[in-house]
Amino acid sequence: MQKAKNTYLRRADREDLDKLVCWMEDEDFNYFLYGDPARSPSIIREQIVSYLGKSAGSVLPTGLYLLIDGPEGPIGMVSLQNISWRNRSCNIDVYISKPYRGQVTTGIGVFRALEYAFDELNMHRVGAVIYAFNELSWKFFEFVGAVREVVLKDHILRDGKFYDVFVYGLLDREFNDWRDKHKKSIQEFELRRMIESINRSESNL
Amino acid sequence: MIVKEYSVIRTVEYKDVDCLYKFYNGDKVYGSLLDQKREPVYPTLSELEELLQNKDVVNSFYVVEDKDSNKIGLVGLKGINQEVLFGEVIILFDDGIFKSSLPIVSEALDFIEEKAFRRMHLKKVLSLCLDSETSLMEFLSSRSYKFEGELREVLYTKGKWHNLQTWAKYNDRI
Repeated sequence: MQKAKNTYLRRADREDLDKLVCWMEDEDFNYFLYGDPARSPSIIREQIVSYLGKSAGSVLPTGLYLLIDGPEGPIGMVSLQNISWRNRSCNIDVYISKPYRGQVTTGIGVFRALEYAFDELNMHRVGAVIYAFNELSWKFFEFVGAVREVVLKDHILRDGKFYDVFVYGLLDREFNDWRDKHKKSIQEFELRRMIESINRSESNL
Repeated sequence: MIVKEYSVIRTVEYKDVDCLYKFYNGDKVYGSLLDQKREPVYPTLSELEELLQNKDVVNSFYVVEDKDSNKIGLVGLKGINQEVLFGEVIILFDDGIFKSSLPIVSEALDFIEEKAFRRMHLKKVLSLCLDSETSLMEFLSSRSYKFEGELREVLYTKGKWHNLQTWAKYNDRI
């Protein structure tokens, strides 16, 4: 739990480029997310640079890359994509590097990203497209109150086999209800607490 | 040009810009015309003219006319995924047309399904519609489309939230 408390969420920077490229080249990244395994590393690099450049100073960015960082370095990435400021909605994609998958630390990082989307960006809805075989991910989203809204039958091909794709939706009121229900167990991990803790350690420097 | 019993179906042309403009800029919002962020798009006439010069668009969209050469609506096929063999069917007709000229709409869908399933050998086609498009929903249901679910409160327009439904039809030959 202490380890979980020491992790924090921050915006991805240009200095993170090598780490991000390394993650995107991981075959699991393409397997679990939307990637095309045939993409060349230089195109991946160009794409990330353009995303980082876009999200940095834009008042109304359409996408944001956040890193779950900790004492041992970044452990995963959360991206908020297709942000619609009109509909107050976005899609969330999560990539966690192998050693950290399934750990509480990771769940807390994603929980904070959801708090950021709802409480800071004022989103009304966060959606997630998750492949049926990625059970860890969809179970997590169901755990935080997301609803499986659409099941696309045989919609993705992996290793010669067709799999279903689940589309999840989490509305602000559902997330708030979930937070109210689990108030006691989650309060020490809230985004607000994380920011307070960072401010405290910065003022001690 | 394909002449059917009740309709004439032909590829969309530069001169059909008025027909397309009406659907994009009319009072009603169509689920199949939302962008990736699920926002309505309001293109100008010149932007649509430019769009209609794109070869891919011209080869994917069809104008549906009645026997008096009145443009009744549009059908099309977009977002073809060659790996998994699916595509999205676009069905653009005013609500009233589903009641007054159902045979025309049926012929248009027959045509586009024939293209998807028989010529392109797709495994399935999807159709997106907002919860306000009740005539389209009823029509899809009557044509053996299966409701696959709906994205809740995904679009805010005209003072309220709208859900976006996904309907699918599978190729019974594959």
